[in-house]
Formats: sequence, C-alpha cells, structure tokens
Amino acid sequence: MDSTDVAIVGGGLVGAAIAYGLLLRDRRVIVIDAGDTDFRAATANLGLVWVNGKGRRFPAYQRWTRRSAILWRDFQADLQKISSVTLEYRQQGGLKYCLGDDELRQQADNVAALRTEAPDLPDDTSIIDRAELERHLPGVRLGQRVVGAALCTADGDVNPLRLWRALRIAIMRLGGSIQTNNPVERISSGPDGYAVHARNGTVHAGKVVLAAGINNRALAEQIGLTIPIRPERGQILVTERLAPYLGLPGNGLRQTVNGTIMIGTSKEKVGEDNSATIKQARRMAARAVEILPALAQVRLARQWGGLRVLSPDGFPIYVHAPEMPGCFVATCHSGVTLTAAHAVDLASAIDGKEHAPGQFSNIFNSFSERRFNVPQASA
Amino acid sequence: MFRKLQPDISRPVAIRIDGVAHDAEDGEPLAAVFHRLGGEVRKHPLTDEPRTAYCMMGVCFECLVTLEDGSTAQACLTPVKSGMSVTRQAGMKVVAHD
Repeated sequence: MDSTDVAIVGGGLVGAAIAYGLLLRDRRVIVIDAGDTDFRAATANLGLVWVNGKGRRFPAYQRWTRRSAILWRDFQADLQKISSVTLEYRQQGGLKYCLGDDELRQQADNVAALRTEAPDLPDDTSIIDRAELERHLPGVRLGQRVVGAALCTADGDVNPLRLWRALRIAIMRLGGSIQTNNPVERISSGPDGYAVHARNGTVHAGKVVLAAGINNRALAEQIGLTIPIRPERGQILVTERLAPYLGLPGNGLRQTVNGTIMIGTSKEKVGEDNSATIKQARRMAARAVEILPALAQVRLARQWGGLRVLSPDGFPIYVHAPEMPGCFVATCHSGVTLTAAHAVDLASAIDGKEHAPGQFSNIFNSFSERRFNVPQASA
Repeated sequence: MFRKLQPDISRPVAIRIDGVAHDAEDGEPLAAVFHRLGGEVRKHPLTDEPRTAYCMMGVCFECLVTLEDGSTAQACLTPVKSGMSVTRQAGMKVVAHD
C-alpha cells in the first residue's frame, strides 16, 4: 500500500507537468499511469508553444496561454538542468500563413478582436504582408498564393517527446514515482483523504489530480463531476531531414532542430480511432506545398495519427471538485504550450499553500466545467 | 564484409556509386551492393557518424541514398537497375530554391 501527499492520475504531459511542479514545492507525489499503448496526445502534436491567435471570446485563456509562453523561458532552463535532457526549445516567434486575401482578413479580424477583448495584454501579434514575411524567412521561396501571415513574437517551439521524457526523468530525480501500466479503476474516501484503486494496488493520498486525457471523462464521474470532452484526431506528416531552411515555426509547418519538417495536424472528429489516412495526408501535404513549393521534391518519412482532448469550446477545464475537496480535474487541448503554466501556476493552485499572482490564483473559477452548464434560453 | 554466396552470373549489371563503377545484379536490393563494399551508405546528418543498412526492410531509414533526380531513397527498398547512379549522403539535404 502506497501513501502520498498527491496522487496524479495520468503521466502524460499534463499530469507530468503538475507532478513536477508539486515536487518542486516539496510535496510527495505518485503518478499513476496507464499503458504505453493508450492514446497519448503528447505524441500527436507539432511541438508548438503557441500564443498566436488563441483565446477568442475567452480573455482568461488569452492571458493563460501568454502567461505560459512567458513562464516557458525559466521553466525549460530549470527542467533541462534537473533532467539533463535537451529540450530543443526556441522562442523566435511563430507564423500563421495566409493563402489568399480572405485568410489574411480573417487573421487581421481575429488579432483585432483579441486585442479588444484583452486590451492590457502586450501587443505582440502583427499582420505582415508577403514582402515582410519573405524578410522573416530568408532563403525560402513562398508559393504564389501566400499573401502574408500573422506573426506573434511570443510563439516558440520545443521537441514534445523530449519534453515528456524530461518531465518523467525529473519526477524521479526529485523523489516522485511513476507507476506504469496501472490503470485507475475507482476513487473513494480513505484514511489519508482519498484512496485511488488501480489495477496493481491502492494509493492513499491527501489530494487526487485527474490528468488522464480522454479518460478524464469516465474518471471524473468518480469524483462527482461531468467533464464534456471528446477525442480529436490529429495526423502528422514528417519529412526527411533537411538542412536548416525554415527559420520560424508556423501553424501546421515546423522544421525541427533535427532537420525534419513536421506537417499537420488535422482536426478530425472520428472517435477513439488514431489511424492515419490518405485523405488527410493529401489535404495537409497540398497546403504545405502551396505554402512552400519546394516541399514537393522532399521525401516523406512517416505519417501517424493521435488523439488530443477537446472540450466543447476548445479551452481547458480545471476543476476543484466541490463535493470532494482536494480532488481536481485538469484537461486541455494545448498540453505543450500550457506545460509551463501547469508546472508553476496550476501546481501552486492545487497545492493551495501559496497562490500564484493575482488573476492566476483563480484558475478553478475561470476554467470550471460549470461554463458548459449554463441553462439554454427558452425558445 | 559481406559476399554473395550464389552469384547469379546471368544478371550482371554495372552501376555507379559516387561516380565509381561497381558490379551488381539486376534487381537485387541496392543496399546489398553497399554491404559488399564495406557497408557505409551515408554519414548521419547531425552526428556525421557512418551509417549502414540495418533492417533491410524499409523500417529503420538508415540506408538513405540520393538518386540521380536528387530525391532520397531507402537503398534496401531500391532494386538495382543497369546504369543507375546514386550518391552517398553526407549532411542534410538542401532544399532546392528554384
């Protein structure tokens, strides 16, 4: 029988980031993780640390994602030191390419609306025309239909697999433990607060954090919550290694430190199916080649699919269970971008001892699942 | 060093690797020719280490060569054809800017 301060259910990017943050705050932590073959959003993303264009109609999220991008700088330096894993993190800005004037106008409208919704935030996103885009990408020939881009200087990128590995190594080096292949079946009250019953035994904990990706939907019922999330499939194409070519990451197009170009991801509603399909390969490759015609001559190395977690409005859900104090749910779509905020502010809010500054002390109100329960106006 | 146990003398062809002529058999995996020559197919683009064909079935991507049209191919999945000319890879492929 294991006993700990905090049991974290789920050892993906979200659970591992919270565990890491709590260990840095000197809590005892056990991460209870499922199998390697479970759906892992950590493997289904481009590795973007992304602010550009995010948070429309949800100013709290605009602040949250930008906050994380800022926290990333110190977070990654500390994590690299503790884990001895190089994260390949860069923060040089990021691009949303626009094909045709309609796309450029949409981006301009979105940037303007975001600014109106949170006028106090830094003005770090600009709409640039083709000539200026060319100056940001020396040596790159753009496709004819590229008219410009939205450029956000807060954006960056990272190797998501190295990030995940670094967090798991750091958890162990900081004295935490990770139980693998141990799916959680039930959560009940126990002598230390709560008992988390998993396949290979029970963990007794003062607090429980559910960070089990799409499985949060079922697990949250155990702590009296309804979490309306669904899987979203994202497919990725990756090319052979190319000499450094594409200087900035873009949405759907990023050259890694290792030289490969990642193309993706699709956003499909297909249930719990992570297959790779020709239809999406065609669509994603066609857009990539429209932006960068030279990619037509480049060899593809692999294609794969994975599932990410989507709430009805696409924004994260963080809940402190009202009926079971000390039990929390954390679930989000942008697990890479938010890793730093999860390790710092969310871990601090869960710890409850010392709150994050001002507006980030209220995470569980801003991102509660209650926002989906607003009664519909009668017809 | 690898050698052919049963050379098929009915199918001899000549190919070029880095401009140098070598004997091969029509239809055999190109990677087999590299193995008979000592193994080295390319230098790893990041570490510059010598690499060779490992899995021989298209999975490991260690045996990448450059074909005459500039494209990259896995030597283990590329059948030898008379007159073909390939080059060993060193460093990362440079994207054509034309």
